[in-house]
Amino acid sequence: MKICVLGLDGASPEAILQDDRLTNLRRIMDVGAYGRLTIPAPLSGLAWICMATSRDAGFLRVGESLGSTGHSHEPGSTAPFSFDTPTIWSHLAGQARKSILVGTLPKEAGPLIEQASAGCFFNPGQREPVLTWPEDVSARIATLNGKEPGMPSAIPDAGRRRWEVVRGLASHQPWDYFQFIDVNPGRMCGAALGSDAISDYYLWFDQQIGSILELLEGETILLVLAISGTDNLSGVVESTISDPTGFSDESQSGIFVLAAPNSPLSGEFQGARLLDLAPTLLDLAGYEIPDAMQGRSLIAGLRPKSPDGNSPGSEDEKLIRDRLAGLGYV
Amino acid sequence: MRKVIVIGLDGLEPSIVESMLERGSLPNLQKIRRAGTYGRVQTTYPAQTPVAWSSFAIGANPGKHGIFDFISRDPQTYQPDVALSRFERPRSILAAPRAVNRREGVPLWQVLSNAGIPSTVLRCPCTFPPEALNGRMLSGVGVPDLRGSQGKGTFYTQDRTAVAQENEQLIFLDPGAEVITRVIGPRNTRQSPVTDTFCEIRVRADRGSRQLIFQTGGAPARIEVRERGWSDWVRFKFKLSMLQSISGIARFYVRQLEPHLEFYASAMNFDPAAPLFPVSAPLEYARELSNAIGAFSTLGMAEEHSGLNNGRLDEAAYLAQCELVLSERERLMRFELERFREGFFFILFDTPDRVQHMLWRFRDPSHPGFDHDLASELGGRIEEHYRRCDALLSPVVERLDPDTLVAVLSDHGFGTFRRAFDINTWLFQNGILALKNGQKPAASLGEGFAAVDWSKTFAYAVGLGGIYLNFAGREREGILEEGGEAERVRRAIQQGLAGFPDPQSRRPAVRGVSRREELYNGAYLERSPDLLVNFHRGFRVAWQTAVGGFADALLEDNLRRWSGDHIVDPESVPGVLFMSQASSDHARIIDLAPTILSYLGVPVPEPMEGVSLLQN
Repeated sequence: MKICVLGLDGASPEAILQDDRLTNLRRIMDVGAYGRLTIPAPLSGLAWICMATSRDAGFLRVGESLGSTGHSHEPGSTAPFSFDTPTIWSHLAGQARKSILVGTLPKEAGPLIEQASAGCFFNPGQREPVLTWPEDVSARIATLNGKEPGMPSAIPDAGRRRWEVVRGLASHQPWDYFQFIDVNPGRMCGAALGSDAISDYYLWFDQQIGSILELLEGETILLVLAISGTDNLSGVVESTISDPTGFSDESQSGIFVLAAPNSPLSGEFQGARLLDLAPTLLDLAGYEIPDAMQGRSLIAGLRPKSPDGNSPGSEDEKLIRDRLAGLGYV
Repeated sequence: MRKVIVIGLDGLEPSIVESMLERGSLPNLQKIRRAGTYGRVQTTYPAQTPVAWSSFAIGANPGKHGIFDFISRDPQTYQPDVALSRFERPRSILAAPRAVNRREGVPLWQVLSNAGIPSTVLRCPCTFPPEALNGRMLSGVGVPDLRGSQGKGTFYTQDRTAVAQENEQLIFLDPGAEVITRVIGPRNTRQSPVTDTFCEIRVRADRGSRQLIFQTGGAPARIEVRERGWSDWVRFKFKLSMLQSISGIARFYVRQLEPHLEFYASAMNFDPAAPLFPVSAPLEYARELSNAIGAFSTLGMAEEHSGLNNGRLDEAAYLAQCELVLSERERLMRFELERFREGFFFILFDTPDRVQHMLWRFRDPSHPGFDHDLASELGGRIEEHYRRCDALLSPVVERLDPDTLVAVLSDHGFGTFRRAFDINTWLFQNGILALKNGQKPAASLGEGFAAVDWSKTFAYAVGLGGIYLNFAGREREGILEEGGEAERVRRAIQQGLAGFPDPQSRRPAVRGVSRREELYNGAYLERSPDLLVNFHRGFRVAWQTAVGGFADALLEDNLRRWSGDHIVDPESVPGVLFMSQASSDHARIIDLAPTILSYLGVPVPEPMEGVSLLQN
């Protein structure tokens, strides 16, 4: 089975869970499982790596890299989260599976594997000239959105272009694992664009999820993650939209929504950890879970659901006839 | 920077326009005419809104866009369906069903987009679902209501003798001045069996102030609606599950407080702030508009003609609702014109078409539905509506300048619909269509060809004038082979129907029957009916024929309130075309797209068949 991971960085998990305008997300929640996440990392950038490796920050030794770059927001400043811990996609590469990662710098991607990787558009390439791997992905991106990766632009416009790239890569490149982390909400918080703009962005994000869903084949595992606002670059925890529930506990600063044709999980799931997601994805997709992964599969011990083999039935005649009702001419 | 503004006034009839121009009753149109030209514009074959506006969009005949009628048929089931769009189940359980626009071809706004020129396209038929473009788009005719129909209202009454009419939902109310009832939402297809969703509402009659007070459970939570008045939009949320709900908007009309409490709920429209299917491009545009100008009807056929047809509304209520629709559209136009700076701007006002469909009988003393008393009150309402349409052009006329081309046009004209011709009964009478078990054509046979014996049927009629041959290998139970046999059937139909006389009026009902190859060319010719029946003015295909049924007689008086129509010989129902710059007076609707492209300096692509109308 294919695995598709869509992430939202800098989001308010509670705001997303409660927003019933997000119809695509709510449809996935209805079909699958969802819940809050315990996140063993103080920074969202670290959190994404923890998710991908199923290792907490202490094992990754990333803190040393952060200390050397400081808290700069200067253009060209990057936080090279260099590490050599295997990720979910490197594990898949070991089984000749292809991955596409968007929003992950090649250095963050770890060991070179069979993949396409398009770097973060918000880190212009002055110090990091190579933003894609292989390099010709850069040309593909330019074709998809008319701009080379890494060019600074207004946040909403860049968000729109980035999703064009995501859709283009998802539909035209072969992949077994697809991951896109949308960092716009975090940037929008940093730019102090206001809660209305961020709330609208969640709606936009939900619409983009809908567009990706249309591209997915039936046998695809979908994971949507939202991790709350911490500044990737400065290491400063920033507050996002005020949370009506009043919660600000760092250990509950993320949510997940997981759906798959064979997933036995359903409804709200309590007690999930960020580190559990990669093992769960591998388990659902039928791969072995590496021993090095600290997390546990959330479906361990559960019998996978048989995918629904029923083909859609034909619409009844009344439904078809009803479509003409009100036409006036008939 | 050059700009083009095109305003569509659907169904404006040249004879009425010209008469009113003579009397000086259309000052804004007069100004456009003085700046440029006025003439009649040739419509499409057939003269139907989705066909004509699609040909406007792509600058070519229907064979190149694939829309030949409001109604198509599925050759595997023979069943009629809406021709403008279809819905597809998703490949994945995670995705939502998808709407697919069946109009093909490259519309002029895509040509402009490819040239870097923006377009604002509002309410053009056959733009559902909307397509991505450089600019903004709001879908028009083709957008369904939340129940998937083209507009199905609900009639509420305490009169237990009431009977449900066509195209409506009927809900009985308990006796008393205070009742609890429900508004019906979309079907919940996630449940088996499929059930309706609904929201509970409480209604109290205040006879002192002659109004109903609704506790809607929606937004606003409480509304007061005076007797014989319409409410503002009310937003409802219909729950599909614990997590999912669908938002819709509807208006209420209070028909009477006594002797029986009666009111009417409009069709449940997609909420523009959260539409069930996309109705705008970009996706968020409809919400942006809703925030800017308030809620507005998203339904393709936004006027409540079914309510009037069924007698649930009277003409005054219907015209009041039409004015609400027109006013919303006018607000939309003004809002967008304020920020229109370059490129192409289009907006269609459908309401003149609907008003003429429903009120034509009051200007035709020979119509079987003519009522002298009502005619004295309502006979002038069509002209009044034309004046209203002219008035809304003021902000357009203000923008007349040497760098802006303004065009105002209608897609077809209008005429009376007095007599209904049942093509299927004619086919039966001429041995071309057979019925099972020795049955004879009658309305009681129902719709959808339930009684047809396909093993002995060579041709059948469905839609608004089309005849399909029952070809083997194409139709599910086809028996006809191409070649001599099919040719005999075609000739028999053409020769038998051409000039067919109406015994009542002694006038010919049918002008002729055309083969599709004579009318169309293009990649989508196969979607067309094989033969097209061309009626004389005053006649139209029968109501039952259109949906695969039979009338009680070959020719019948049209006694419905839907008393005007335009699905006749296209040469007798041209539209109108006002252009603010000198232009040819032999215009065809397919010429508008090349004209617009030429004016904006964009080469006209090869598939377009029209030519630029500009003389310079």
